Amino acid sequence: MTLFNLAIRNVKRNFKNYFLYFASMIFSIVMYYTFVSLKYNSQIEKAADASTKISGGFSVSSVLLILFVALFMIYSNGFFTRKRKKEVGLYSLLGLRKKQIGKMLFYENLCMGLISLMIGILIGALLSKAFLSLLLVLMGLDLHVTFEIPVRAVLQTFAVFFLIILYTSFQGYRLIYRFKLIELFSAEKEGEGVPKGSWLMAAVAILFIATGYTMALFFMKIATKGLGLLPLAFAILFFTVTGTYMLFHFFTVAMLKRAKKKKRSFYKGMNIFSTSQLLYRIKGNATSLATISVLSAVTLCAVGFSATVYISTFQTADQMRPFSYSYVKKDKHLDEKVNAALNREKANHPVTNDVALKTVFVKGEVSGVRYVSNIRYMIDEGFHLMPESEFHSYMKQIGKSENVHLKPGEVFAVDGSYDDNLSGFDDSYVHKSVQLNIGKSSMRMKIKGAGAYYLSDFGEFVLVVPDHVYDRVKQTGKERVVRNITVKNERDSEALSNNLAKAVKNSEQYSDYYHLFSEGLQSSGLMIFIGVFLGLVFLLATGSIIYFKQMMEAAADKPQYDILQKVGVTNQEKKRAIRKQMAVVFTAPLILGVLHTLFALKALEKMMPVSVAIPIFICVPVYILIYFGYYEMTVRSYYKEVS
Amino acid sequence: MNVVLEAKNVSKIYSTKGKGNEYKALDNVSFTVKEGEFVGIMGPSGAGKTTLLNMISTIDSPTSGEIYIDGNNIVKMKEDKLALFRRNKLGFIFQDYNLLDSLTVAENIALPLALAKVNAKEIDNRVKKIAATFGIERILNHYPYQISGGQKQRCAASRAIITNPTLIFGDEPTGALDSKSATDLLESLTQLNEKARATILLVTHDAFAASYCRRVLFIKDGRIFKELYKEERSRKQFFSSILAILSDIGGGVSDVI
Repeated sequence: MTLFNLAIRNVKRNFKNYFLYFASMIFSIVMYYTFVSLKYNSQIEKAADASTKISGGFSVSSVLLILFVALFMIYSNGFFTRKRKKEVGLYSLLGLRKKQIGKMLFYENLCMGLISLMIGILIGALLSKAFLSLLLVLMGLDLHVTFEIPVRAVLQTFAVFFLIILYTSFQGYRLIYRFKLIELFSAEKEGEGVPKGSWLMAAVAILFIATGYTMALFFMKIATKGLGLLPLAFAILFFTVTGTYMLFHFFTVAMLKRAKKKKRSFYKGMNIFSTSQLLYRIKGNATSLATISVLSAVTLCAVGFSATVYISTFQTADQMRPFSYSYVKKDKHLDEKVNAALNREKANHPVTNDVALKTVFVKGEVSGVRYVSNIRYMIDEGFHLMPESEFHSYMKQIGKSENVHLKPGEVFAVDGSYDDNLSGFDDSYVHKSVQLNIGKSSMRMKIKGAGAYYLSDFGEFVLVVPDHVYDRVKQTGKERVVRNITVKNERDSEALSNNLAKAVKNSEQYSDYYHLFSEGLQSSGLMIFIGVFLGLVFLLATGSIIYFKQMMEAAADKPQYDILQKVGVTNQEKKRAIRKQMAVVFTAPLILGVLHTLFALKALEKMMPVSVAIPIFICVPVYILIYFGYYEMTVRSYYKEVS
Repeated sequence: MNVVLEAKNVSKIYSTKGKGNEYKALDNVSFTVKEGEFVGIMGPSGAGKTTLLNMISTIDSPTSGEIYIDGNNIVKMKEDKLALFRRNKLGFIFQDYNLLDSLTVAENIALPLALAKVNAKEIDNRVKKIAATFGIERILNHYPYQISGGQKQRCAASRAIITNPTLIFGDEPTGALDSKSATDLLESLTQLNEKARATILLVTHDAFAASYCRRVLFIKDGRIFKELYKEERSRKQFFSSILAILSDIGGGVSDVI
């Protein structure tokens, strides 16, 4: 029998043991293949206007995915080989040469890897159409897709995983050389010892995390005061991540030691066992628990952030483009062309509102402020003016109202992006005086206040002035009339929007709802897809890592549970003790991860015009639910393993 | 005196699935143990000692027959009830100590009391008292991996008796100990038997350990072969009588010493 045969027989006979390893390899491959197959899909590339953006978005995140998937596969390989150390030791004891054993392990892993690579690509190919449809829905693209296997995706997946598998196989080959025989036999007995806890270090850990959180809460304030955005973000990352690792290494130990000292609760039933067991295992667990907590935070942030962007696409489009179409009236001919285009789509998109906004542009400046630069406009040379009476009737027409009563010498600013909650917003012009150059003379007026309204799709900064001022202004400048039209079902008015855009092509100004919305939806739809996809992969992988880790411990702890059985511990007590232990192992990183996320998204909220509350309320419970599923599964398998 | 343990016609048959390949490990074994007795069960390897111990200590169940401990028929009990029964009525000392690695010596000893939800202060007192009897007060805060085999076994013995069990089982308790530690342990058990009137049942193939008992049951091929009382003999005399019987059974002296 050749070594290759022996390797194959090994896999066949112990398939149950190999199954977990197989499953995690296949899972990684399926996820990776699905992802790159979307990247290289020819149909999606054609459909999206921003095809470069698409492959760009996929490229960056696929690097992230490779890193993660590689780590995950190396981890599961480590879990798997650790389980087999004894078997390898036995071969060596029976007189197989090291080189032979190494070769056998190498072939075995290579063999399994190649098989799972094939299965993985196959499953991935089958799944990719479903993911493709989902992506298109999210991007708002109406497209009928067909089944497709991009060759480049297959090649890339094959290349990436072949390298990873080669690496893990080589690790298998080296296993026999890395350890002495005695170490191979006592693989599961590696003494973990009882770690030393330190309240001082625990306090430092909490201080670190608190610093990170405080920085996140006052993100914008600190960033604008000199530290800069990126360095601050890295500082927050440093403090929270280091704090997390320290917390798990020192705080948990200190807490458990304290629990041991509280004899009354410690000497109560199985507490004596579960607490000691947790303490005994914490040294080996602290790093993984901290990693899981950081990964959870990253996952939740990625999903929460992309969901926020996705939701904000709808909100900002509604807010910034209050009308379906806005264009500057020029002549009768243009109006006729527009009306004709509107008429053609009357059935699907009847006009529901049609208002005219009259303004006069005047040169001028806000004193002491050279220019006001906000997200959506710049004031550097002048303003659009409109009379107070006209403003009130216009507001009524668009279904809004603002209580403005101007005294002589006062003006009121209408600034769509005005939002004093948003940090980074420059409201320095409010309460300043403004100089308007009317004809040859100029006049000074005071800006009384500002209101956050968009009067047309142009999003311009408009000053409401007393009627008599406007009358004067009108004599010197030309009045501009903007026609604002609202139609029904503006979100899918692609044809109409294209036609209108074409009709007013030569007019000086035109803006519509649909194009902003669909472009936003395409990029944010892609973003939420990638966010949720990566989030899902991360979640499944972190869940699996905890699961593996616990099962590894279960195997090592079996003798301990046998002893408990003999001492007279009932199965129910055992189950409850396992439940309790696992609960600590699972919830500690989860709670910390969720906390990290809340603070991170709170910082993010300062830079975004929408609330992060809704994404959080959706993502976090879903995450917890899936995570809880892993908990249940782990408890069950653990119990099965030790009884 | 009360009967603590009564085995009635206990048989255990191991059979390979399907095929009629049967092996009778125990064949109609009956005996009783009274309160305050110190009984040894001896026999050559494969005679059925460990099988018998597993049956009467509720870890395994017989194919046929009845076993009563303190009047309770343990053959008919369900697993969780058995666990509670073990916890409350029985104490175990095993050859490989069976200490929990993650617990200190004190915690290992305290475990049965903690499971019984005895209050913490009382647990502390009892642990200290028992540790003093076995001379392990100074290592109470050590972990099992930090102490010697003899110390481990004394810790295990302390755990076995801390609940004042009706019956203490020893399964080759001296098997992994050097002669000094073995003697220490056996002396402690004898004291426990004489002073605290604990009922002890020892399974061993070591004639030296058995010579500390007051009655020895010999098993061969799954049956009780002979019963020997110490009576007024000295331990050394009892030891030679045991050896004599063992060579009769044919376990071979090499297997005994």
